[in-house]
Amino acid sequence: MSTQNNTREITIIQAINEAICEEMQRDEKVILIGEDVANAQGVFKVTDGVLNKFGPERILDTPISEAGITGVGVGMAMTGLRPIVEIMFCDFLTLTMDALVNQAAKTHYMSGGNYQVPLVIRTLMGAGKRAAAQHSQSLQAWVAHVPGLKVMLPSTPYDAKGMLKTAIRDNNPVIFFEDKMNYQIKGFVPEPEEEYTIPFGKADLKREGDDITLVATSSMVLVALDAAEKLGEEGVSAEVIDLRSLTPIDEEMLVESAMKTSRCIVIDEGYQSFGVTAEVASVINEKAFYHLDSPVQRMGAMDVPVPFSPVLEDQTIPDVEGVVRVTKQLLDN
Amino acid sequence: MPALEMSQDVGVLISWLKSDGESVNKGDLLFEVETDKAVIEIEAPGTGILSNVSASPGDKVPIGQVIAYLLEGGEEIPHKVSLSSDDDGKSQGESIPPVLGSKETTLVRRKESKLVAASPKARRLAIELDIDLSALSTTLADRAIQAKDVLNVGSIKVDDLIKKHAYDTIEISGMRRAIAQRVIQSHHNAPPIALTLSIDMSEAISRINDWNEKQATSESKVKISSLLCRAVAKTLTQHPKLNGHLIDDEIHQYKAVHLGVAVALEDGLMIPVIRNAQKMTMGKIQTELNGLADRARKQRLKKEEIGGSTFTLSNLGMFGIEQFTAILNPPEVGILSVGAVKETPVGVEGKIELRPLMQVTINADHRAVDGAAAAQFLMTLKNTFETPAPLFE
Repeated sequence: MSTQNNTREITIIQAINEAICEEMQRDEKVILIGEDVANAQGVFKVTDGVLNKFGPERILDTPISEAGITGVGVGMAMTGLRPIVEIMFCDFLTLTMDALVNQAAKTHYMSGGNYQVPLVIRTLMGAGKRAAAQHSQSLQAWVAHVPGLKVMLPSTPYDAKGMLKTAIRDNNPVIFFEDKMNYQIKGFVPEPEEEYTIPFGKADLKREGDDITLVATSSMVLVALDAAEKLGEEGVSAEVIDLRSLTPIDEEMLVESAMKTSRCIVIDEGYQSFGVTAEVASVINEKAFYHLDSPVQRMGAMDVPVPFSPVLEDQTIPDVEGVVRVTKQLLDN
Repeated sequence: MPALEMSQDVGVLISWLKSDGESVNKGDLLFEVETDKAVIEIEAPGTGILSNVSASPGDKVPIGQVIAYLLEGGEEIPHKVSLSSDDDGKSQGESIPPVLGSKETTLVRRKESKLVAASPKARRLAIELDIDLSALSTTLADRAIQAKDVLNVGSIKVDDLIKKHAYDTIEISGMRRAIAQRVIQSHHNAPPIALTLSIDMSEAISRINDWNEKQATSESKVKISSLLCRAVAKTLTQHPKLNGHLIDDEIHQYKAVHLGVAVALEDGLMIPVIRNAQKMTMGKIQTELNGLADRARKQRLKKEEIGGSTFTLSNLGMFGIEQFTAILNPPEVGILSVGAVKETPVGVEGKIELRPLMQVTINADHRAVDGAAAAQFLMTLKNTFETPAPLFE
């Protein structure tokens, strides 16, 4: 990723806001619907100013009915619009499953290519906000499991903007996960006139290393980078990969890195069991087995409902100390 | 046999309502089938002739199994198409990807005297480096053998191993094989001596420029390479010891100079021959050289244009090479390696001047030629170049 011309420092919230506005400007078919997205400008102010710019015909507040909103989005997409649907918390993706899994993901295939569903679901993931068990989950594995849905999870303002633009321009349904705890993270992006997009299936090599590969998604990228920094102080050279897309997945970078370092930890904030980490670990096992010096390790959220108690909640998410500890175990075994 | 209920595995054929060979229209009642719940009449899905009926009333038929065909007139039964997973397990999933880049590498478990715990990478390296893991395991405590343990024994860096797998395989061509044979033969049989000296090319270059200014067409212009051929041919007539072949117990010294000129190709080299080069003028040599080099690069040389040379000239000056020693082209006893013309400070009457110098190296078969003879050849050659007027006659 080139940072030479990146001249403005903005937050992920601003980056997403810019991507939405620039795409709505570019293509009048792009519209935005969701709970509190218009008048309230989003519970996290992601849609700040969008109503003023584009008017109530292109940004619509909806009732609290995720199944309904998503169904409307699929219908809009099938009939010529390019809707962005906000599902305020990904915990409520559970309510949208029929529209996503059985309709959005399959319409292009089952109609023999006659209908497309250029739909983007923007949704929030991540624990740490003291929001309890129903507003803190990271359910990206649920949708990544379904062929026909693409899944993206940015970790920086630069990536968030470039990836959301790619998602909006794609003619297939994309589920776009934003981590609510990382919304205020700042990073450099180019001036608005300097157009860029980030393709699906391209991971980002955040840091090069020789001893171990830390594969991370979204909120866990920062954890991995901090862990790598700490490990570096102790003479352990850790490589960090930000996966960015789950489907499609950048097998090439994963396998190449695993072959180089021989050890991998996969870190994702979804529940550890039956999750994203297991899938990534399997890809590495299948393609790089004879280059591995230890079993690929998974680190996900603890397999419990996310506790409301802050002390307990923090225990359930992979953290820097945990990554450092597991790395050392792998190196010492 | 159609599936009529979600939980149905088989259908019992009750009766055919049309007979084998009868014409059937789409929608006609074709046969009756009994499920757990009911007897149902099945309509013909298309129009055609009922053929190859393979189920009889009373048969329990798995759903999906073909029990007859509806064919158009003249149509034959399609080749058997299997949709069952039992027949063709391979189509049910991706084949296992190759685990290593090299197809020769097979990961056979070594014969280990006891069961050894080792990482996959360690195991692979042990096979590649031919290291016995069971011997290694006794030196380690309770942990599994890792790659680093194997590499310590093999004393090979990981980088070397990565490089080992990263190469392109190029089939050896006929030409490459011929070159290999000849240079080995030469290297084994002919003990070479190599002598180098520098030639001041100022006069020669200014003569070439004068010559070329007078030429009407670009084809008749000459280059250093043709001057080289001319000078070498002339010099060889005065030093027949270098213009010869060593064959068994005889040295054949030739009066005529058949000058081989090495021409680089995409992969390999050819040595076309200028016949009787000693008789040729500059212009003639240049024309001859252009034609030979062109045909050599297109691999269109005639048989009589290759072989039978009495001396070989190899010029790498165009690549900026200053000095090198070519390998003798047997049975010849001499080969001249020519470097680039390069401006070089030289002492002239107590002052330093820049002069265009060209280094030439004579490589001679010491069985036939001694150092002094080779040195004398070089001195004459130097003189020929530095007083070049006769070359342009």
